[in-house]
Amino acid sequence: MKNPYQDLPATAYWRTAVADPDALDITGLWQPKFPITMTDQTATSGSCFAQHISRAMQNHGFRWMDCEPAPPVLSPESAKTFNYGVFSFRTGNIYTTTLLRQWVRWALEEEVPDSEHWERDGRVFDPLRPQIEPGGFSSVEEMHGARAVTLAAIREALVSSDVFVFTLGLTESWRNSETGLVYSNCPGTIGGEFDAARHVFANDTYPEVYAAMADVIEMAKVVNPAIRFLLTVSPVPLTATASGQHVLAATTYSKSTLRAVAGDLANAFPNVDYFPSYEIITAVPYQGRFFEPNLRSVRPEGVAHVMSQFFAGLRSVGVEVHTEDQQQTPTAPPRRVPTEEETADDVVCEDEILEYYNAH
Amino acid sequence: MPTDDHRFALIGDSNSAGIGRVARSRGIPFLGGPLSNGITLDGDFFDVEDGDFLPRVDGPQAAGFTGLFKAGLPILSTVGFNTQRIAQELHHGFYRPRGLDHSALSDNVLRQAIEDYKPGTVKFYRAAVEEGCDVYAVYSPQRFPEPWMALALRLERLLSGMLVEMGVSLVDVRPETTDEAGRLRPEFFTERENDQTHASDVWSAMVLDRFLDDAGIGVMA
Repeated sequence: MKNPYQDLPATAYWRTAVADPDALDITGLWQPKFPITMTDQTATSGSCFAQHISRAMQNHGFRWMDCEPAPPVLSPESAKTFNYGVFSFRTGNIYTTTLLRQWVRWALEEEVPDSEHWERDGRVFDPLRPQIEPGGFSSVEEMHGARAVTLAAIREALVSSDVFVFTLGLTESWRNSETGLVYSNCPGTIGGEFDAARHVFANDTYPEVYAAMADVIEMAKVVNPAIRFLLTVSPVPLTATASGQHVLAATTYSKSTLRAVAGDLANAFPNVDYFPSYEIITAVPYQGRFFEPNLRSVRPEGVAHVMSQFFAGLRSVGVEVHTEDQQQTPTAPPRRVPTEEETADDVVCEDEILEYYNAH
Repeated sequence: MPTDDHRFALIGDSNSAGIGRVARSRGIPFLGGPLSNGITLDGDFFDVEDGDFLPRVDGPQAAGFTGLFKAGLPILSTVGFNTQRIAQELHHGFYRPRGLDHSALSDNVLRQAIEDYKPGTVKFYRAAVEEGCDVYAVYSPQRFPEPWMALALRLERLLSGMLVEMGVSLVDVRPETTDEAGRLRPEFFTERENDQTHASDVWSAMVLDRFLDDAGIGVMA
């Protein structure tokens, strides 16, 4: 009688799948649960590693959703400075599932947005994204006005996307013990002032991470029953930990928890898949080759390898994917054609100047 | 070329034409005049060569600006105050299609938008101040189409703030010429037919008088 391992493919065995081939020749790392096609509207969000996914999908001809586009009068460089086009909406990095859930609850009006703001040198900063505008906002009203635009963009992404890609980054976060507000960063680090009486550390457990992400998936299904989620885990280690553990151990706890949650959500929900970017960068066969000398930042070759595996996975289920060469370089959107009224104004202005120089 | 008679220098878009006309009619000698339309002055319309202003604009008027930065004359400028154009662009290309009101963008974003959309304007004032000129910028006549009026005024406020930070002075006749909502009062409209933009020479005369006062320029009546 055969045992269950006898007919398994080579990818099921460590020696044939991992140890024997050159690390860069390891294939079949992702078998998509559902295809993501170039015509699917795809939204991206999450930790900083998600930015690479946004860019690569655009470069390969996918319909990446820019739900909060920069105003057309800003140069591309300025748009980037103001954090437009980094993710599908202008939240900045969303490192934790609890922070994502907070944004989504506010966007879908399940909760009233928190009113806290930070001030420094007469400028106002959003505690959820203190670096979103260089130099902060000029007033509290302006900060909340800008946040309202972002919330509308998140709602649009949830309502209209075919696929929502989210990269889980951290389990550690800081909260306001009085209001429950989840911060994007520890107050006092890149904005705000730390107050030990109100600012409390949280290191989310597996059930907490799972529950927050499951809540997001369920809320999204209400407004968009066909939405699919693709989860990834950022391979970028923690910069620092407030857990009291060694940062190496804390990183392992955090990433292990996120990886387990992502896998279990993909098992539990038919509309959720997991893509192993975390493994592709950090696993033993790659021997750390994809990290910069700081052993934290991912080298461009690592990002390229992750994305090549991503697109190879899609091709394996019959999805057409453009190469970067096939994809036309994005050009600036065409200038708006002036209205007749505007053209008439220009003529009037020209006439005024000509008449001035008319010696007769 | 500047002469000893010149009392000031003038540069700008079509809104400077009336100011030049009034000065001429009063016999006040000045250097320059209207250089080009607002769109051109939004772009990169000049170079600085040997410390002087060198226009990149075609047309015989371009020759009239030699010495603008070197003559030591106070400069009266309407350059850049056509904020209706950027307001219109934002209104049609950003706010209206997305159903947003004008508060959706922060002052910082709009300041950067001014820098990006009007590189020539910003460069002009910076260069003039760096060359040691006393520069006086004139607020527009405050005639903008209603849908983007508030936005154009907000952009004008931001632009003037940027200029003040650079060391530019503002010539402001708005209190005497606008209504409670900040619009130019009809009695100051130009009499030209089909002109929804410009102000009359009465307005220009008020600007010139205010400038001469502010700059301490005495003129013989």
